[in-house]
Amino acid sequence: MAITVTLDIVLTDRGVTSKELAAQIGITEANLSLLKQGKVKGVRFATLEKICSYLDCQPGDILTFEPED
Amino acid sequence: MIDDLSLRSRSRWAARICLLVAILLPPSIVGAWIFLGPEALIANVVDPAQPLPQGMQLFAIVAVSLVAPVLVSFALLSARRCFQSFAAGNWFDEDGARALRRFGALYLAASIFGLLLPAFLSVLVTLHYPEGQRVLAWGISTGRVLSALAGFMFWLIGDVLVRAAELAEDNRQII
Repeated sequence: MAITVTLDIVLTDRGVTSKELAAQIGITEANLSLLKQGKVKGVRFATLEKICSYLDCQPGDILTFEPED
Repeated sequence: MIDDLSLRSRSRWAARICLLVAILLPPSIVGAWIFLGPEALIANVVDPAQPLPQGMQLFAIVAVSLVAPVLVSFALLSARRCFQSFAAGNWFDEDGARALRRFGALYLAASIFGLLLPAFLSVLVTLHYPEGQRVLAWGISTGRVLSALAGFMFWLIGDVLVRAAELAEDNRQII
């Protein structure tokens, strides 16, 4: 997929665990895991806002666009 | 607001009724042929002066008269699957929606065949008559036309539910 989720990198940088983030933003660890693997069809603005707010980052820090060849 | 438990319970009952009718329908037609005899069932079509159909001809008449009930039985088995899905609380299950779609298609096919049945039966029943006395009769009834319309509508609603199930699956993958 052209959009890559780089949430795991930001989590490592901030020293935040998936379990902690999931609890803070109110989604299940299973869904957060799917998001980290890019195995979702979309992310709600509300979820994105909570992630960015807790990790103090921009949407562009956790989502990157890589043109397909 | 519709109560989930009540809806699931009613769906469970509907599934049981569908299974019961699907199982009983074809044997009841065969039973009617056996116990009432062909003379009682085709009395309004045959000429009393002519002998009744025998052997393979009679077998073909029974077989043709069974086509629509068998199609309805398969339709009811599909409806049962759909209701089982509802009974399990899967409102937007793709399998259930496809089962409803299949029910509509089979019911439509049974209704269309039912519209053509009088023509097939009249030809088969009078096949052994002398030339010039054979009959091709066809009639149309409001009930059959409305059944075909109902089948078409269930087919369409099934298609819409399949689409809804696909959208629900998409929504599940948005977090």
